[in-house]
Amino acid sequence: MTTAPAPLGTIDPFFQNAAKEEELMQVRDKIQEFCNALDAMRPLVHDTLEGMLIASLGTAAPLVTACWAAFDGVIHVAPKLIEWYNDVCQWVWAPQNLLDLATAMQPAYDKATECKQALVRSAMPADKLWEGVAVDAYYAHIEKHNASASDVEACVKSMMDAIRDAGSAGIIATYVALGALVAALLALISGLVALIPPATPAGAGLIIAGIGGFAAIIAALGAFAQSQVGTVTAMQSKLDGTLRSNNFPGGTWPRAESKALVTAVESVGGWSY
Amino acid sequence: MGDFKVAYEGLVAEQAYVRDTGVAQASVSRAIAGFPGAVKQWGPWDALRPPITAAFQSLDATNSTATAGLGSVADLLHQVQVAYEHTEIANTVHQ
Repeated sequence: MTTAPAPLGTIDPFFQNAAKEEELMQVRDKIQEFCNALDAMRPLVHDTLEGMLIASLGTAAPLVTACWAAFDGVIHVAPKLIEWYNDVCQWVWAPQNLLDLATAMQPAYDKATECKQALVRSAMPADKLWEGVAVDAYYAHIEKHNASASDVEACVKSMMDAIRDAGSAGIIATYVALGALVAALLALISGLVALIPPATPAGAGLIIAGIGGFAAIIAALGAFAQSQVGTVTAMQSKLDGTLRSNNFPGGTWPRAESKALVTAVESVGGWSY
Repeated sequence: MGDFKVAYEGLVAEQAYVRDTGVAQASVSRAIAGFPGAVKQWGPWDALRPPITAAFQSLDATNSTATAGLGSVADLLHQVQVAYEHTEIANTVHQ
């Protein structure tokens, strides 16, 4: 005998990165502190640069001006580091969230599978004594709902697959980009080391090139992400079509109506759709 | 009589399965709104969210129709079962 399953509890998806957000924000604050320190050092660096260069090279106004302009350029672009750090954090963690979402959909898929498997004649044997058009209509009803449940199962599966694919592709792209980011980061560090005069202009050039590398990588990731949108949109379009197919007349689950119950108990004739 | 009872219980079970599928989907659908900030501010999410939420909404909308359809059939079967029970009792009394 078929029995009603226990009600499903509330599903509370677990997002792995939620707990780590605070740590990420702490790193961002450190970068902000670095940028603030760079800005605060501006007058001191100016005076030191001027003093060092004049002391070692005599009157070297053009070089001092060049160093000053280079240092100023670094201060100008440094705040972009915060912006790109946030972008990188999102790229590292957001695709993982999509994978977590796909995982959270598993109970929905399991329920849909369970539903489909429950809607078969052998699971609902009702024809030991009951016979005729009424029991036939009952099984026809089961069959119709089995087809609908199969469609729901397929829809949930396609959603899981599309979301998981988008998340996986995002993670792969992020790992590839991280390699390039490390190279850009090394350029930044080399530039910072070279900021000491008289190589300041060359150091500033390295830093600005490194930051430019960050920007290019983030832009490339953004362009890649757009390609994933097409996959998810195609899934949604297909799902809409499935939920309006013959298995869902009028976009709803099949609904049966009594044909003859009102006349007499003996003339129960089944249902129409 | 047993057949009607099995059929009725089968429909109730079917109703529960369909309802739970809807509950599971709705839970995940709601969870999207609670995504950690890393995803909310993620540029591509702006483009990915509409088709994902639209898909969830379609499923939720369709599943919301299941209860009414199944409920009516289950009620109908239950009425038939009760009617037959009454008939049987009446026949027993006559005998």
